[in-house]
Amino acid sequence: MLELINVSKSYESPGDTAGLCVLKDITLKVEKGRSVAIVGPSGSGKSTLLNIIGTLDRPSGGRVLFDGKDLSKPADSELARIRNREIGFVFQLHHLLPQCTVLENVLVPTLADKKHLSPKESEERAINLLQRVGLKDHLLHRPGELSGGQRQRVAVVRALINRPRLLLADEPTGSLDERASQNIAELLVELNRSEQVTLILATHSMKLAENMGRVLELNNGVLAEKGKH
Amino acid sequence: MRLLELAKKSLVFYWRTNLGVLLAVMTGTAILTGALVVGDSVRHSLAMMLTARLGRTQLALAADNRFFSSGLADKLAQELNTIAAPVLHLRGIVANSNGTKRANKIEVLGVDDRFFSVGADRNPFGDDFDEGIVLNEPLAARLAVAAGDEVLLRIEQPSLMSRDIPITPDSDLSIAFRLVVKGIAGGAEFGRFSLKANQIPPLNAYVPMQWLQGKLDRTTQANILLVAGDTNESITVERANEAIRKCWQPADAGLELRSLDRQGGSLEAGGFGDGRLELRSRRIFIDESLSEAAINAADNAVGILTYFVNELRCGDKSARYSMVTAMGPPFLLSQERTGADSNSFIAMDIEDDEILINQWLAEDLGADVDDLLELTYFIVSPMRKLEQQKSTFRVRRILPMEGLAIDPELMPDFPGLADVENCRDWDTSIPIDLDKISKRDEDYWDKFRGTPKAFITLKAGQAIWANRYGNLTAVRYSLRGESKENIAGKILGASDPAAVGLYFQPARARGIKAGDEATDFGQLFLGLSMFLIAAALVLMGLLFVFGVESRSEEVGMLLAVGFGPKLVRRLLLIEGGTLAVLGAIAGTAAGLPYTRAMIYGLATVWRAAVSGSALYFRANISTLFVGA
Repeated sequence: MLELINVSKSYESPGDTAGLCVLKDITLKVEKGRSVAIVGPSGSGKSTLLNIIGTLDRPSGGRVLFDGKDLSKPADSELARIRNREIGFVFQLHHLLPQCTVLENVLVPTLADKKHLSPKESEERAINLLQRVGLKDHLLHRPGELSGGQRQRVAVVRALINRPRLLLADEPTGSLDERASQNIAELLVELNRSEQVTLILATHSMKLAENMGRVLELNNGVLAEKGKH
Repeated sequence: MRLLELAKKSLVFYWRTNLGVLLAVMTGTAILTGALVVGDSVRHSLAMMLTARLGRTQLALAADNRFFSSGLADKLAQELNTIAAPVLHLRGIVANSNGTKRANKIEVLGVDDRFFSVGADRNPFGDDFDEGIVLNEPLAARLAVAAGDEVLLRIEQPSLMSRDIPITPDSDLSIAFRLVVKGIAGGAEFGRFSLKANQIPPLNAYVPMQWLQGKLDRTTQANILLVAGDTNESITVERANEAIRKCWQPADAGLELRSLDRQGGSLEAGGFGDGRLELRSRRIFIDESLSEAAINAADNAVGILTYFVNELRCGDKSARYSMVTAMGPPFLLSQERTGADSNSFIAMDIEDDEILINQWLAEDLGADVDDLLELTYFIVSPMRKLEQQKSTFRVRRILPMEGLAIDPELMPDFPGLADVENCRDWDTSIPIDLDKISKRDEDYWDKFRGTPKAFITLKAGQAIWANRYGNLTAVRYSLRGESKENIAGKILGASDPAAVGLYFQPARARGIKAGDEATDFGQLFLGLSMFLIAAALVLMGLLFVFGVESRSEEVGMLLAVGFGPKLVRRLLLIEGGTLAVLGAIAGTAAGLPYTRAMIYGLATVWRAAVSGSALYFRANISTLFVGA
């Protein structure tokens, strides 16, 4: 489903100094419905790798294939469509819109492509998902009225609203306490199974990573297999 | 949820930033709209002033120091199928009854009900149009008088001829009247009437035209003619001027075509005989444009130019202050037409340097045929100063004191000369030394009045005495098969009324044009407000950019969940556009009271900028849209 072939990413430095190489010849293949954890210390390039997979950034070298389709070729508008329909994002910070209710936040991705799901269908799915994550009673609450864990659960639901086939989670528990982190980890695993969504999770927490089916370690821009569960 | 709802929620949620943007837009729009509406208001005020100044006047004929028959108005009204109002306009001075307050250089307007029909629906004279005076509001305020009070009106008596013609009396030419103020004319009573596009309110005094004409001895005369516009504004200047050409009479050009038969035996004896006409001008000199037509009106026409000379000298003898007449063909050249004996009056072959003198003068000077005679006379220099000049002629013949040679009618009606009994009572502007008038001169005046003492050819006379007022003082005709009306028709038919000041001007169109060309206060205020507008725009831009940048994470999230850059821009544009529209509406609404404040400023603090003119608030819908 997802294949990275010799993906590299480097940033040019001003002057004659050598550029900063963040990712080096990363090759990775992820099957549909699998869950993968990418661990590594801060600054190891985990977020960069997820941004490249999620088409928010383009690699300096190599190719990213999604269902065999090279994601380095489509125009920005097509990439936006792919992000909207095929890929869900969960960030370390929830990035919920403070002006919207929980339900409205979940529905924000549906505004980008009305043809994908009808409004009614979207709303029913949103309510259903929010019920599943235990937030049915908070539909009309604003993010400011929720706890950190609840906000992150809303962010997860928002990432899943358009039935993506790939869910990218970048340090989803980074700003949560242990209990909330555990809840989110369980939620992601559960959704990975129930929604048949491929999950790639970047974290520096081995405890969270161990919930995933496969663990890869990114160190100094090099990705290496750490283990399978 | 829809995109619009999201935008609406964002607008409300980030209200502080958005309020700043809104206020900046509002401020900019208010200033912009205000400046433009000031322009509207000034234009509207000028249009209001134009209406107050001209009423329904579309065309105006202002003959100034020329006078036409007020009956011309009736004919033109009929011809143009509209109202035509004659006005007798003079300058004057008015003072209150005890003389403590007075106004100089006021406009004295002799009017009748037609004037108010053109300019207003209300006639401040009411039914009593016999006497009294109506003052306009500024004049009444200047004198601090009200209806029922008495005022002293002094009117500048119009001169028969231009004041800079020699011989015109320069004595006090004003006449005074004590009149009761019958009313005060405001804007509704045509109180602002003026043909001058001046924003300063005129000082007008209205008196009944017939009364004024009577007091000035100018019965039926006027010097301004107003023509009201009809509903479809079809009265063009060309049409009106054509109507003048069709309707005008000799009197409208200041001409009088009179019979000489009354002059009795002297003319008979000289051979003029019955059925003779003479064309004269009330302005003494016949305009050159008319004199050519007058000469060509009949093949027996005789041009006459009689001039006042200071001295006639032959050797060491001189005669003071006499009339000398120049006469032109065919009178001088055609014996047959004049019926004159070439040996009895004027030689047929008289040369331009020759002069005929009468017996009286010959005796005074001891002159004989072939003697040289020097004429000294005044002319008006280009600088309008009197210059004394001399011309010398050779005496060709001495005329006996009979027949044509003793025709006092050859002297024009010089004011101050023709109307006095004794030559010591002469009242002219030229320096006359009355002490040099001898007993014999007085006898001549008593016996022959202004009869010329010498005659020269018209060509010679015109060469030295023709001036910008004309080159003839009379034209004489012999009525052989021609009627008086025929000759008058020929003269007028060959003349251009415009040449004697009888032409209409598009008063309203000019007023509108003057208004259009006036300072654009909208642009002026826009320029003065540009700094404020620019500051508001910069503030608005900064606040908006600040608002967007503070939401950069939100923008990043939207891009991550599949919003394309265009969609994100659209969302921000909806928010910005909504703020712009709301700010523009609020700014436009705020701009109106701002403008009223500007107008108030122009009417008070900055009054000098608009010359004290009244300003009226006006906001055109199109201007509000432009401002918004």
